[in-house]
Amino acid sequence: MQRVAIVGIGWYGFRPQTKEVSFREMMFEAAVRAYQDAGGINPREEVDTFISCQEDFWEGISIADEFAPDPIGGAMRPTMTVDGDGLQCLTHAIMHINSGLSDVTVVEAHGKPSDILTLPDIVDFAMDPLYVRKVSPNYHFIAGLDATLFMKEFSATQEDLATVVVKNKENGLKNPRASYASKLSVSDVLEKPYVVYPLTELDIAPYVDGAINIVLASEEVARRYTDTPIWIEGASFATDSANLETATLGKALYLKIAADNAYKMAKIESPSKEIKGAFIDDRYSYKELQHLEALSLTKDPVKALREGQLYPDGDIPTNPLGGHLAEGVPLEASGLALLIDAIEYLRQGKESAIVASWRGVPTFTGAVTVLKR
Amino acid sequence: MAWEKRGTEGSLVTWYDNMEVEAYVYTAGPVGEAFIKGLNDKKILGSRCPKCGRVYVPARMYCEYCFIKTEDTLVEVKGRAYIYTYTTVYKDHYGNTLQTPLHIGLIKFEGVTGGLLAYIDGKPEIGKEVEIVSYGIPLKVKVK
Repeated sequence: MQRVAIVGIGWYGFRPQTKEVSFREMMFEAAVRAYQDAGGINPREEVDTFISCQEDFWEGISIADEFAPDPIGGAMRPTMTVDGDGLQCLTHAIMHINSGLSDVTVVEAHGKPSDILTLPDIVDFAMDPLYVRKVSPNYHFIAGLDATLFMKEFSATQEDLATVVVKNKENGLKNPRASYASKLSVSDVLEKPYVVYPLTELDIAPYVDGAINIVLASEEVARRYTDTPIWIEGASFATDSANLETATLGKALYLKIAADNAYKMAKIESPSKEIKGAFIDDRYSYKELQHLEALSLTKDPVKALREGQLYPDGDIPTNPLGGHLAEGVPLEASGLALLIDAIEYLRQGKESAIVASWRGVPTFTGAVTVLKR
Repeated sequence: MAWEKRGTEGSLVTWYDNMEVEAYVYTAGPVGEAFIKGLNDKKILGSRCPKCGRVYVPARMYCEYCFIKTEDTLVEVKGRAYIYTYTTVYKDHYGNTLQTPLHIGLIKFEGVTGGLLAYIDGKPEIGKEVEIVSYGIPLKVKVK
């Protein structure tokens, strides 16, 4: 692929509730900020295509796609929606630009879970209706099944999972988007009762309201909008078998497939040496470790954690701004939340980063983006 | 960007509505139906891919690896049933503590691709053999 630049980012919310705005106003707020960040770009004239990542059941509106264009400046302009995580949207934007269809494309995703009064029932509704849906009174049980096998295969302990929680919640203390950042001890986490074995309430990232807007540009035009573009060198997404019975548990195959593709595009042969920061889905504590292995950043994520390699000053800084455990999970904006963490990290002078998202239970879908300064 | 936002409870307008999705009919399909009838007869039925030889449980109409139709005649699975992985649910997803924690396992069968969810009686452990106590969705199994 030809590399594509990120020339503007904007966000709004990242609070447990955002009652002061509707979801469309939240999209507008994030968009205005992103266009300002992209040198004051006028979306009505200078943006060629718009892409929004959203899902009807999260919005509470069927055919919510109709509401995608106008809050981001895309009314009466080419706008498409992707029913998936924001990083999948980003990959579509790269295709728009690489195909020559567009020079500037905007990607948007948002989540307003505080509006969804029966959110766990909606997650249940995403499960296979015949074999899976009615089995458990708690949808996190799928993560429980996966975590138990992960812990066995990688000899991880409850303390290891708690250490990830403590690390990420503390990393979030310097991040303005991290509503759930806290200073905790490992014993604070271990003392919490299980929700589903082996996960306590603190091992599970809470939901958060948030909207994110990203402006992307081709290499030819990027410097019109910013002096400090961040370059996308590789991007991909993949789904493992979609059936719980046949999907891989214990390991994140979806992310391994996506990462291998993205590394190939970015011509990265030795990820652990070439990637300087990992911004990866940690909506369950064990997922951070499982995803690190899938991304080939380490063969033994548990050892890396115990040796301190995953801290901000370690060899593989992982979620140095706190990840979902500190920021929360803004539904389809989750991948983009990790992306803007990575962009801020690179804007501070770091050389490269990887962003890896997962679409959450009950999916086996993930996306990867490789970024360089 | 709007500067005139309000934050005082009572000045914010919200209303309740219901997204009508409570009634829906799902179809199991011919192979799914045969699989469920098999459970009623206390049998675990699998479908074999004629190309790669994988036997799928639950039985399904096509092989996702080879993308071809599986064989018409389902095969009865008789391999050893064991706990592939498990969890224990202590709270429902609205935060209410269950009266009795619920052990849920993904049960696999030797020589088979896939598996079935089950409620587990006894102390669950990865790799442990189980006996199927009742055939349904989910299964009920007992640790041997």
